[in-house]
Amino acid sequence: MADQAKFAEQAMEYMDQLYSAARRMTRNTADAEDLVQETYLRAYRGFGNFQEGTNLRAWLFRILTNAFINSYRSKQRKPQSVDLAGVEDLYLHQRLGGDTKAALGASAEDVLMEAITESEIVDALESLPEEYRIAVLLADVEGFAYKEIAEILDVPMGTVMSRLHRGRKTLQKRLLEFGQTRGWVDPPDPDRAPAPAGI
Amino acid sequence: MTRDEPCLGVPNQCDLSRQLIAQALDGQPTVEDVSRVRIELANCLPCIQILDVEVRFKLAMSQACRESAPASLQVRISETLQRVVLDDLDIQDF
Repeated sequence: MADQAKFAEQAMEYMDQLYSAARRMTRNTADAEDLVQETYLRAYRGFGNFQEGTNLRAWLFRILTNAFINSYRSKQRKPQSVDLAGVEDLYLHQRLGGDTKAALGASAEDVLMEAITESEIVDALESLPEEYRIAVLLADVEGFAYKEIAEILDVPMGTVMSRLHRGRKTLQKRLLEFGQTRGWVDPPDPDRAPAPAGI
Repeated sequence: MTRDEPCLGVPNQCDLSRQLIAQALDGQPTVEDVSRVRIELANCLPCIQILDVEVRFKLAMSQACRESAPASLQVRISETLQRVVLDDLDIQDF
């Protein structure tokens, strides 16, 4: 059992991480602030049940995610569930190899990855359906392990891996589309056979 | 391709390697997976490109999506927590 009096000194250091995640979940500043505040209040109330010595950061993220799903999101219309299983298998490394890479001389990955702005990456992430967005956020931004993400989201590890695979694939597709509009990447070849489905 | 055979750069055969590379970058590989990824990287150019792009992609995501909580929010939450603590103390005093 954790001592509630110690809550602030132990939990406040995670505020930037919780706020970053809340921004990507809610997609706006005011709601993110409310969500983080609600998370801290819920966490304080439940801190007596927190097992000291276990992962406080993961526990706070679980509260944040639950608060978002159960409280914040319920105020909105429930988003339509989107299955990304059918997303075409296009990956950055495939489209940036071959002729495009040769024509540019230097590494085409360098050109695209350095030209894309941070706000465009954020926009691409925020455009993902919620369940994929949260999985990618927890893995790629917060660095949680599959097992931790499974516990935070209360889903099996296989589901975590599947959401990550599809979410990342969709993100890379959106970055490719961005590169195509700027003329850095060739448009898809309609004659090219699609790669076999992934995970 | 089976799990024991490297893809050796055969077009469209790198899917298993992509999965293993992603797991390795996520810090989740088994010892067996690490050996397998090493074999792939030594024999398959597309796998090296996969690794390169996945590393850049992860780094770019991590850098782009981090931001600091506003100072006003930190103050607000600290004050709210102090108030809640005091309220709890008042309740216990009754």
